Amino acid sequence: MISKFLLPSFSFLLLFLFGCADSGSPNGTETSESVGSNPNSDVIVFGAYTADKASDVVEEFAPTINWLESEVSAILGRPIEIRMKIANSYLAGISDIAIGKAHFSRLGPASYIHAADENPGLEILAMESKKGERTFKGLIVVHKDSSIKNLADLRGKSFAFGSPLSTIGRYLVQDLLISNDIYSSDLSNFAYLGRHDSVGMAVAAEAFDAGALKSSSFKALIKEGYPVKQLLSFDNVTKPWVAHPNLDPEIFSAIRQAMLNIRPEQAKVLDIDGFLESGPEYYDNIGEAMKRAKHFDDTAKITSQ
Amino acid sequence: MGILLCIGISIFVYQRDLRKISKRVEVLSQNQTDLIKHLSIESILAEDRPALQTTVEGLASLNLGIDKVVITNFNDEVLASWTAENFQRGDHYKTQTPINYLGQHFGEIYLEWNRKALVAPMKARTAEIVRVIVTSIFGIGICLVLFVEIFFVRPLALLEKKVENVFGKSDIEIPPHQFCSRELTHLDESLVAAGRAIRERERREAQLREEKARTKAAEAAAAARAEFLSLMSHEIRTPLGAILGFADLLDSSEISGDEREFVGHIRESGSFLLQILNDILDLSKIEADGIQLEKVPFLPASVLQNVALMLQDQAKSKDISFEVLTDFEEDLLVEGDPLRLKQVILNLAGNGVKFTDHGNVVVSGELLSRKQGRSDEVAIKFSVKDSGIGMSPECVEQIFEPFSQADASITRKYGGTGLGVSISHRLVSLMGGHLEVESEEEVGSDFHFVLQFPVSERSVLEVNTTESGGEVQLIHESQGRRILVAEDDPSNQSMVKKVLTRMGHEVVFADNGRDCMELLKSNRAFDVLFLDLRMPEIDGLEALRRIRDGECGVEASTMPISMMSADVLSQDEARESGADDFIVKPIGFDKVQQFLGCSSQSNSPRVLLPDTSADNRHWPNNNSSNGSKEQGKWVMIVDDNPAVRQMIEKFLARWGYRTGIAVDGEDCLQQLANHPYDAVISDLRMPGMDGVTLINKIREGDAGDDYREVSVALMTAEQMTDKEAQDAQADVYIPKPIPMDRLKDFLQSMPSDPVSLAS
Repeated sequence: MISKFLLPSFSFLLLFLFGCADSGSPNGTETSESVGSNPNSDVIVFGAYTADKASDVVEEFAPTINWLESEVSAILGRPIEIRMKIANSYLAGISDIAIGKAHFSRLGPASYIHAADENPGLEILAMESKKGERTFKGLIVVHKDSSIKNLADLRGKSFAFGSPLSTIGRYLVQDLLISNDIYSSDLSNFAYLGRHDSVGMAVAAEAFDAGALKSSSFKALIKEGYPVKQLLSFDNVTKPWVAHPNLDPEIFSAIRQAMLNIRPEQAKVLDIDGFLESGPEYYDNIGEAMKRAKHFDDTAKITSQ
Repeated sequence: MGILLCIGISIFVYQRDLRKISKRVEVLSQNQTDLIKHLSIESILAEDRPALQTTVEGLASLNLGIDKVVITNFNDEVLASWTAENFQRGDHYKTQTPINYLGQHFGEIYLEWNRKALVAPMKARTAEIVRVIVTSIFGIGICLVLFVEIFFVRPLALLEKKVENVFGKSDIEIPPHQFCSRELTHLDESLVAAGRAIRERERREAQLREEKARTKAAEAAAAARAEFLSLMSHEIRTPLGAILGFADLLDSSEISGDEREFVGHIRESGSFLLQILNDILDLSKIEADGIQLEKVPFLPASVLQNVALMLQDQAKSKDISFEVLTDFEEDLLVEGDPLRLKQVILNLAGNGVKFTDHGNVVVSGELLSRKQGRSDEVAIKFSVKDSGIGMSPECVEQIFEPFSQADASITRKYGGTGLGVSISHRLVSLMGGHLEVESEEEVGSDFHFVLQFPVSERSVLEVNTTESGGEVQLIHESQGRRILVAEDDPSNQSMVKKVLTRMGHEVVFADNGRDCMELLKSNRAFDVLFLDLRMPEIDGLEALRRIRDGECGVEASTMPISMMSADVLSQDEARESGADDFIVKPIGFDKVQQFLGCSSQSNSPRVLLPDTSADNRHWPNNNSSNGSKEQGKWVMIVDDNPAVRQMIEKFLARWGYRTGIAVDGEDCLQQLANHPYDAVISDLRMPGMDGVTLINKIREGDAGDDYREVSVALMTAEQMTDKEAQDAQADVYIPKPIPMDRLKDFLQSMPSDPVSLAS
């Protein structure tokens, strides 16, 4: 009698157990992937802004940030997570570091001045080193067939600027033009094209007679065959990496230590060869140039693309 | 069982589908996340809220079953979200997928999937699957049930019936059945075979039980019959013996001629009655399978010769010749039952003589074959031919049935019981032969049968048994005697010489009485004398008297002398003249051996079997007196029948013995204690202590140590074998009716010194 029901009962039990086992937790949350989420680690935010595509910025900075994360964790002896926050504009980026949405950020010199104006408490972690120097060149470029030979020849020509907030793209080149008594009214036309490569491409397209961009962008354009040539260069200060005052001092020190000790091959991804100690004084002339550049276009119409 | 299975399968499938749904949702979530990342990575990285909102709303519009989408940054700040209008909390699959890019975590995509929307297709599919499964299960189940029913249940039910049939619950045999399965077919065949075997065995067992019961009943009946026969034999023979005995006494007394004639009738009628009784008892024994054939060495030629001896006088009186013819050597010694063989031959030859008025009766023995092997075997054809009245074919058909003679006139004319042939027929069958007869009226009859005998491995001289005229005697070998034979007939001389020299004796012949006496006087020592009756010059009787009178010396006067003659009627005279024995011619080995054994005065017991031929009863010489040594000897007679006691007492008195009487064994023991006796003659069957017990007690010394070796004769109406007689510790066994000559022989053989009682 018992054996009659044994098999089906056993089968039923097996099926039931198999059926009930691991039903998939229909009400549970699934996290199929997490990246280093360690509830016990300090999370700091690195702020960057999209001068170009945000993904490019991530691509540009992710290796360095990941390296920095491990270096700082090693220095501190505890896990540190560094998140990236990409601002979609210079102003957003400046705002993020100024108000502390980002713990530390890489700024252009002019952006740093703006950010420092908003939050004088910002501290410079280090400044980028280009060939061991704290300066690098900005360029005024013309079409390769342009007859413009000097700054004076720019009088009555059209000129493409970068971002209105760009150090090279606006402030230093305008300061240079002013120093050569060329104001916006002396140009036939001028516009703020935003990106450095946009400036180069516009000049190559002879949309503008001349433009100002960073040397790396110029080299990239040359490499791609754009018909532009350098008119003249001018010095710019390398970019500072700044920290918000709310960054833990210990972490601040660890970041600075790591940056100052970065290996050239690691720094190469940023198109630099390392970091140098820095301070606000290295950016004083930028501030002054920015003040002077305000006079370039007192009455000019500013076109920003 | 099926329902449970179905439920189990359904649960299994449902749970499995739930797992599948979960995994699917995971995959979907990941896919959606990847889609969102692919479409909006820049927006995500740049935390472009408007763009992301557009994206989530676009995702929601795809009707993928997503009721809620939330995109957050790494600070869990909502960058974009969308919730379905009919969103109801709690009934959703929830997934949270991180947004990672180049190893950097930028946020999470949180999705809530509508369970019903996801499960519905699963449920439908599950229901479909379950339907299919259930249907299949039921279908398979039904097929299985049918299959099992057809191929197993029914065959097994049939086999169960057959098992019951095998073990006897049903008598009806169910024939073998062809099943679809070879194994079941074989099992069925085995069961059928087993059933048959069991029934056969039960039938045989029942048969055996029946046979055993029948056998037991038959054995009980046979035992009862044997006991009855024994009792009847005793109860009839005893008084009959008394009748005959007293008739003899009367005959030997002084009576008138008429009285003597009357006594003659009494004796004749009594003898006939005895013959009838013997025949009836024999037939009854045969019918009851009470006959035990002996297997002892004997001489077939001697058997035939003895029959001739017994019948030749009767034949002579009717003027018919009686011949015995054999074609095998006289000393051919075989093993069998000589008494029964003799009984058969005697019956047939006796009938031959009775039913032949003129002509001849020929008894022949023909050696048909002799096989040699581990033990030699001979086949002998015995035949009794007569030239008598013969039988009609109708008589031949029923001759072997009891109580059938030719017809009543034959019975009246010739007498007889009609049992002899029937008994002979049955005895021959017992001995392994088949009695046949050819007969023609007024021409004669020829009765014949063939018997097989193993040849005895012992030589004639080694055998201590001899068959002689119904007697079986155990005699020590009497080899190496110096024997004088007075015989004038050369052929008889030759016969005697042959017999005696074979026995290892030295034989000297005398042609007449004178020469015989001369040889005895010549101081040549002879151990035994055979004396022919009829001889020239001095015949045997005269020589005998003169030798006994001492004319040839003292030794000769007491030497054993046997008279030889064909005239049986002369034996009384011979005994009166002093002969120790009388051998009726033709001289047979057995007779000679018997005499020589007696003459050697052996102490071995002599077992005498009854002589069933009334004509051959030898009654003692009424006036015999065998010497003074018998005078005064005391003989105890123990018998519960007063007539028998009186008869024996009378005979013993005539012989010069003094007697004591006891009514049973106890009485005998008491009397033996009070008086010395030289011999004891005891009946076998007595109330109280029987004869065998009495003899055993005597041998054990209950009557005194002196009586341990006293001569004892045991009388009985039943046949006893040698072994029974030996076990009874008697010296001799005497049948009833008592042959007085044998009784006398016994008395004469007892030791001379009387038993003396210890004071």
